[in-house]
Amino acid sequence: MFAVFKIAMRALRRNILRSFLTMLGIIVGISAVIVGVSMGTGAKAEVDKRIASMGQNLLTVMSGNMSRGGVRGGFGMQPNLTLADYEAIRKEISGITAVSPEVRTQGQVAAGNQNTSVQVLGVSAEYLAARSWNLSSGDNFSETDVRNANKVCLIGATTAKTLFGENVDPVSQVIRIKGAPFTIVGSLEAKGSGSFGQDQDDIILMPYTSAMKRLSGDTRLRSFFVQAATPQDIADVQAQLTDLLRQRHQITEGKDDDFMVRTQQETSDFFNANNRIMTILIGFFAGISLVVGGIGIMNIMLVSVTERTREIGIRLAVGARGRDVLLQFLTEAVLLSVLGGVLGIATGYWLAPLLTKFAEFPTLISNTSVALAFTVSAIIGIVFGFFPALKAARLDPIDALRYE
Amino acid sequence: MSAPVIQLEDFRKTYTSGEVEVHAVQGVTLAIQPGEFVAIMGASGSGKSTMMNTLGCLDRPSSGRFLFDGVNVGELNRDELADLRNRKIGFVFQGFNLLSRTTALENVELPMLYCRPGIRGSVQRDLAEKALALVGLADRAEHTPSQLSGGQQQRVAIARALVNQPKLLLADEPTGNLDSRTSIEIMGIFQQLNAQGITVVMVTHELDISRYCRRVVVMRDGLVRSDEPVKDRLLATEELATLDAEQKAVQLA
Repeated sequence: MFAVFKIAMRALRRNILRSFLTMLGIIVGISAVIVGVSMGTGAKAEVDKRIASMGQNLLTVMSGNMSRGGVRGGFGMQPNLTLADYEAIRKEISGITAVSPEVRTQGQVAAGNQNTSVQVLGVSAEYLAARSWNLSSGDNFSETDVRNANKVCLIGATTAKTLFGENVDPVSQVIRIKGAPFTIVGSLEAKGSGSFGQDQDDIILMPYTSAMKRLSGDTRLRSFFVQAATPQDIADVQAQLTDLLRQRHQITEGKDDDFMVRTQQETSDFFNANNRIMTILIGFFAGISLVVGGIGIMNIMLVSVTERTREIGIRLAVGARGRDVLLQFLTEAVLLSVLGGVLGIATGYWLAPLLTKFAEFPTLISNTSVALAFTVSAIIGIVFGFFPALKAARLDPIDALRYE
Repeated sequence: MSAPVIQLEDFRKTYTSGEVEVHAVQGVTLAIQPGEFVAIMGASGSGKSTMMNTLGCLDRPSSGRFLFDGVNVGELNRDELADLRNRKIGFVFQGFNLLSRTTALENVELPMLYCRPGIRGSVQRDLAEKALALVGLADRAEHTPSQLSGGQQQRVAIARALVNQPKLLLADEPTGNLDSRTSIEIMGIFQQLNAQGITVVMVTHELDISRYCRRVVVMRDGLVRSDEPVKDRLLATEELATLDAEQKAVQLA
């Protein structure tokens, strides 16, 4: 076996430029696989990081999976969750550490002569802890504030900067939201951009009661935010929530839910679906390039077999069996493609960081993709080297010896 | 007398080239005993190349029987033919047929690559060196064919043919590409090997070369026309001595 390897190595060295050009197709294909997959994994890691920045073990309950007259509305379209649902969840669901309604409304906010349009989020007092969001100054609003729908709020770092300028503590300042005065009780730490790429710090948080009564006027809710105690509890909490809400909404057996409970995992899956499409697309083009590279190898191997017909004749005459010749040429083809694969992997390692540096695209080279690329290149060698090798092995010794 | 190395019984070979059937050999019965030194002669088209390919187990008879060392070659498959060539036949070709850009030593090792069971690398090297020494090329082991003269290349080919200790040394026009002096030297090597008991069969169309053999088979139109022992056999050593003497005389004159 070693002898076969040595012969193949020598044959490739004899035509070093040709060998390299033949490998080029594989090099391009394999490096495209490495870079493409690294983009997919990099983007996924980024999404996971952002999703995790929202907090641990989270579930979202959304309203409005409701079809009316055969028309199915999107989730959150029909605000059919109630405060009573919220109270029931608080009391009856076990294995949760926090639960909060999410009342979203957009509003014009003014302080002094500055004003800005900002997202206002009405939540419970447990919300901050669940999202592991800290205050840079001041305190969270209290349960009493929630009960009394007090006009208090927490301000995001970006909003604070817009309204008060940098390095000014906004705590205890009064701002007008849609004309109503609210006292800032706490200032939120900067959190950076979220999973949608939006600025999570351009926000105002307040008791959900305050948001409903004083801003939106809503009496119903579009979504709840629930935190399970441990990752193991998530599935159970999801089931409990579904059961409870079906019961409360009087949905009979066999009917569709009029709400949706989505886990954080499902949210990340949703975003990663896009990445997967991108990965598949790049993989597809890399695959085409690999096939082209494989055809290049087949082409050169056919040329090589023809050029070396006489050599094959000599080998057959001195007693080489067909399979010895087959193995020799197959080894050569596999060596070509595997060397190309190794060079392609090296090129990928070199290109991926460049992509991150210049295109600011997150990349992450996984061992799996390297192993995959290596295996694929070996398989290409076998597949595309087999036909030329078979052609060599089937030569008639007499004809081969006479070949000029 | 022991069993013949080669036994042909009404051997025929027919090729179809296009729509025409070519009867290359049309019924040859021939036996060659161990230790013989046979020249097969004939003009082109006489069927001697076909004889050669068949005796070398590169091809099988169309009809008739060919026993090689008691084995019916017609019944062997491709792989069995390859093994038979590997173990029992050494080939020497007119065009030497060495692997270019490969050293003499590695050329000689070539048949051992295909031995079953395999031979260890160090043993292969030893045997190849011995075979090269036998043809007087021990000091050229690391030279590639392009660095060797025609005669030296043919000696490498002979060493390659000998390395697996075959039953039969088969030479196809071994002196066809060589000048007369080198031809005699090569015939000298064959005579020397034959004297050690190796069976040699060679195809040639040169009458004076055939006189170094012990038996001459003449073929014409696919049939054996004559088959007789060589009278006045030439000895390469003597011929070389005569040649040297003549050259000296020319130089003196």
